[in-house]
Amino acid sequence: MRRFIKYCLLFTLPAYLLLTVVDYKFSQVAKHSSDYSIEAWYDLMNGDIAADVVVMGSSRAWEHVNPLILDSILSINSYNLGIDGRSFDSQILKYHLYREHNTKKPQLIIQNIDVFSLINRIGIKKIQFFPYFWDKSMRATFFPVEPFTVWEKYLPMYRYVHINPRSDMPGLSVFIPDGKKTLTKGYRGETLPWNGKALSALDSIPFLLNDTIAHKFDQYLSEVKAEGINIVFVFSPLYIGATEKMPSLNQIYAYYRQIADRYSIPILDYTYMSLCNDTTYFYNAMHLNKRGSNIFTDSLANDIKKLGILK
Amino acid sequence: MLFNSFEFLIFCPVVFLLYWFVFKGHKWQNLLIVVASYVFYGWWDWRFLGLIALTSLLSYCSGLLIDHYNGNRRMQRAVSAANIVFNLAILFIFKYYNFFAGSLNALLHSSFGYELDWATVNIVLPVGISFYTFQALSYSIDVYHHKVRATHDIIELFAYISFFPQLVAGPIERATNLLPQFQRQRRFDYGQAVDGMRQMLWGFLKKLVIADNCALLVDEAWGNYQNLPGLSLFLLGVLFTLQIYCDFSGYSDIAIGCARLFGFNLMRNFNYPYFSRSIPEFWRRWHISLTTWFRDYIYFPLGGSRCSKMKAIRNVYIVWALSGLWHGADWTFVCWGLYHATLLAIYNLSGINTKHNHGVAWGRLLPNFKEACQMAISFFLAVIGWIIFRAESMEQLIGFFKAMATNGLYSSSMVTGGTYLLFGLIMLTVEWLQRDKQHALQFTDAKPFNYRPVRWGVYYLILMVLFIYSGTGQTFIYFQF
Repeated sequence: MRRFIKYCLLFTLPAYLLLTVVDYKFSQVAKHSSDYSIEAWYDLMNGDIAADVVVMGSSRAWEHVNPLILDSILSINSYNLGIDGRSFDSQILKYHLYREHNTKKPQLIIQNIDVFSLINRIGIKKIQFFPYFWDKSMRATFFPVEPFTVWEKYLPMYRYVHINPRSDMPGLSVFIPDGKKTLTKGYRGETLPWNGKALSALDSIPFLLNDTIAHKFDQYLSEVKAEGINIVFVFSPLYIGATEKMPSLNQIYAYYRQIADRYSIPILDYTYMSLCNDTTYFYNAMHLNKRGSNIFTDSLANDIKKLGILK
Repeated sequence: MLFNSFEFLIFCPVVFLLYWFVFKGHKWQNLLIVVASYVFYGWWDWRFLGLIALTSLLSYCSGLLIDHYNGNRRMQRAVSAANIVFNLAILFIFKYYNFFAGSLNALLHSSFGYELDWATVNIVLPVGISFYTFQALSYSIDVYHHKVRATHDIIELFAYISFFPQLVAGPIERATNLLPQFQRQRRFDYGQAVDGMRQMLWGFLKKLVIADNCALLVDEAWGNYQNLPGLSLFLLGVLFTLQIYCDFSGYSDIAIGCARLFGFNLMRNFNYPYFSRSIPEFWRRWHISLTTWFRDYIYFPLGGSRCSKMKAIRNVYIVWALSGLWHGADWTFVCWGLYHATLLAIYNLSGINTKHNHGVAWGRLLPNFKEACQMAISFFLAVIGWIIFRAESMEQLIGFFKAMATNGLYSSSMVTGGTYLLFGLIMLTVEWLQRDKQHALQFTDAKPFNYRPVRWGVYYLILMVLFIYSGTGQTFIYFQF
């Protein structure tokens, strides 16, 4: 019996330890991956962001607001902290990590608003957290809310090789750096042509509100205000076809207007901006392409300048 | 709890350590097995624990009563029959009620336009009910036939019926084999435990790498059968043939290996069935515990083959129709059973010798031409059978074969299953080389496997393949039966 247990341990423990070391080393390498979701964390976790203005939101934030244009018009240093496909709770967690790792307090937060931010959206692009598995702050912040399987948590390297082929995760090679960069100060300019996707599904989107997320958002606004950081809500452009199709849009925006009133937050509404009528500036109903986002950021920067909230 | 779950990875070593280090006497170990088995089953759905307990209690009481009426054969027969009726009633309610009520409802609706509202209650099927019911029946029937003595220890019988490695998908044990093992002191045997671990490893490889990956492809393509060419549909059948074998024999390997860790020897359930030279031989090698159960408790009492040819064939059809129904409450399963009954009848009537003293290519590396042809034909017939088995309805079954015949042989919309076929081919090659052993990882003392580093190298290689290629966790196909 003792012999059996001894050999079981001798067989498994060295292999487990070896895999753990490989996992740790591989994770360090994978942080340099050019996958946009992984790259989005690199500057933030290294404390390289000394921004005066940060852009917050989901994919509509990081694909719509180009920090280079903000920098040139407002003469400041800005950074885009948008997080793909995620609701406010993930956006706020990212903000907390940003504040934890980057010492400079921003003067202004541009909070991009969209229709999905108040509902629960987890598990999208889970691979972005894989390289930061060993990072204490990331573990403490994101891992309690991420749907990691027990195998991913406790079996080293398993999360890298065992990627669900049915999801949009492309495979192990995505973690291996190729030296390319896909983001500019967190911003991703999309060059895809118009594909009309998402338009057909919009008319069925109801006004949903997750109370927990709404409460977290409320808390976050209080914290930000208490710190003396300015915040501005932005209703960034949607393709007009989407605006017209979505019966719940007015209800959703009305909800944000109430919050904005409560905290005296200015709102910049681009829902009916002229480019919204032209598919040339969009790659789908919800997202501007690079050309559209540059035009939009230009307007946004000038409007912020007019607000006079930056020192 | 699934074998391929993280919970089992914790559960198994914990029970193992408690079993050998804390609960040392065999009666205490039996108690631990009952508790562990109920936890194992209850992990899936604790509400159905009552059913296993009831089945076990009925069998226990019937055993005691048969013992009590020793010398009074009439009373013994009545008790045994009552136990069979009660157990089959439970099985019928939970497994077949929906099927028969639905069929009756459909018949009345189509003939008289009448609907039976009360008949459409949806009853949840408890996992593994057919397996433990048959195991329980085997006990009381064997007690009645004086093949085994009735046990007066209730824990012993509960442990026999609920023994967790084989509780939900077999092998369906016989009281004559398993019960005596609960009645004696077990001693830890290093060689047996190591071999059990090897068998489990091979089972996991078959289940997680081949069955689960084939399942992804088969499940996705099956619904689209109308648009696939004949060759793809046959390939799909081959992939399912691999999937079901690796799924079920993989489970059996894990179950048998796991039982060996606790000092138990379960009966063999698979003996490399795809290396059979005929369908009768296939059925002597596939799901052996069920086939022999039907043989001993239904086919032989009906007269078996020791009667007129027509009666023998009738018996085959009865047994296989029941076997089909055992697998699932659907006409497709009945159809599958009758298909195999017809094949067996053809073999029987044509007088082809299907009884061989040895396995195929005995003492040789490769089969001769005749054997290769026989194996190819048997494999082809098995594939056709599995297509019937996999069909979700009679309409789909007919549509699938129609599409196979009329969609053309080849088109651009082929199913891409090359990688999984390759995995399957490698697995079958290893099993071919090891076909005289109990399982494919049973090493001989011959070089180079008598060196530990070589053996460990093989284990690490298999673990690496499992680690990298294991498919998304699927449940076991036979759980539904």
